[in-house]
Amino acid sequence: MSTSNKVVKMRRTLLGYLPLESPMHKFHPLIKTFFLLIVSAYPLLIDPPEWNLIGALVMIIIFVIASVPLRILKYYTAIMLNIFWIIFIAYTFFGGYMPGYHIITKIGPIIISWENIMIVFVIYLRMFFAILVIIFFLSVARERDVVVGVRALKLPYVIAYIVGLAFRSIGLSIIDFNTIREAEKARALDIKALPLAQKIKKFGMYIVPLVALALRRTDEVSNALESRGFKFTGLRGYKRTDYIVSKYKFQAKDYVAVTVMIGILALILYLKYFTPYMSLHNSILLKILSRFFGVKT
Amino acid sequence: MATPQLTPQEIWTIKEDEIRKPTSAHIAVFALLIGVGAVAGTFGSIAIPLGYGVTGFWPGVAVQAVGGIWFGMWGVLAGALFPFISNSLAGAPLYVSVAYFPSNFIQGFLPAWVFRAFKVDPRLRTGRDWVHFIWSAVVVNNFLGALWAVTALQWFGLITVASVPLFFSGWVIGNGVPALVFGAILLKALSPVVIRHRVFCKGWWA
Repeated sequence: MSTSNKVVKMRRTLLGYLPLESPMHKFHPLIKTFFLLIVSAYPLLIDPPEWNLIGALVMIIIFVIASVPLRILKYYTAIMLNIFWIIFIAYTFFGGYMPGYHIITKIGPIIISWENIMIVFVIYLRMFFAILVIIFFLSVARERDVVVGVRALKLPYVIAYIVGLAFRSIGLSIIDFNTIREAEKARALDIKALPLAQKIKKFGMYIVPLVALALRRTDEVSNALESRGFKFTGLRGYKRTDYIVSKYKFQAKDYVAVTVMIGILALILYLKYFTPYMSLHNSILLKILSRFFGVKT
Repeated sequence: MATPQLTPQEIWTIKEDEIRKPTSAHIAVFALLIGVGAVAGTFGSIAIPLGYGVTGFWPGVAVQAVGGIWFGMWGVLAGALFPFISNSLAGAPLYVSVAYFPSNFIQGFLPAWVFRAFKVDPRLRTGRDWVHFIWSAVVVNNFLGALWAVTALQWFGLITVASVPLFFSGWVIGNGVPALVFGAILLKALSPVVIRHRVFCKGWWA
């Protein structure tokens, strides 16, 4: 009997792993940064919840096209639910009341109005879309992409170095963190058995050794730089060799991607400020919901 | 031979023949502090999230306050920048993190300025040191940070006036408690070492 186990090669990203055959690897690294900067603005500009819902659905399609494992969204399920409850409680029960609001019900002194429930939907779907954008970026971008992006924008080398070292130090801090935890386990500390408040307190205490280790690492890094005669400004009269940047070229598809992203941003701005389509009064989803709650708006 | 004890005056005063310039060590500590802060900040943001990166318990603020006190503007800037990473990993939209920049800056800047201006001992040895630490690194900095943060959230249309107290108190308490507990522990435990280290900044940059 033969078994064919297909090995999927992956590349490490800021949040997890992305298959090597993902189309995202074919784009210039700067495109991922542009995506974050431009597409993150969409949900903040859009008011009608159905548009943000469509944006969120499009993002999930992009997740699939980009071969991003959808299980990554599982990590954020608790956060998204938590945000929903916070928004729901904050607005429904503590959203305030103004004359002219449509009252749905009263619970003691608390007035639950249609206007506050409407805001819950508007804001939650805006957040939902925005969170998917940031998760997508973290799922497809690598430390190298961010550094290459900084270099491609011709920013000073010292900035690229700091960005690279900062991202590297996150990984190192996580390794240090795990080492500290293992050391505690070796001393018979059962972290799982601790109540939540103790776990949180315990984590806070890890900051002390993490900072101490970072200080020690500062010495190692700066000694290594100085012993090699390294200068952030480079040598006078010599151009610094930018090996990583030379590996990437801006191609036609990169220009198309940037044009599409800017085009959609311009369209949203036009619809928002020069047409009534982006107003909450014209929202189809809110009209359906208001009927559901028996409110005539 | 025992190392002579430094007085608070000696800790912060630059001597006549003392040359202090930013070095590669400062660049390294700046980058490494971003990494440590990002890890500490991400955990807090995930542990008790109130939404939009506001959390009921944020140990990252201890790194902000202490970073500014020890490493001057390097620590203040690191403290203002690492929340971009920690908030993003915790699911806060990019422009919300951008809006928090002044809040995070002031939370590191105020204690850094107070300790330098009033020559406060970072080892927290006297009641005066504790008083300055509590008002600048626990109360006022987080109060100002929360004030700006809720204003920004309201400007983005993410919270209403009525829900301001929830987010404001969440920010002040969620930052104040870890700043007091972990900030004090960090200063007491590591300041004696840090003030003799080459990356310690008597001024703002060196």
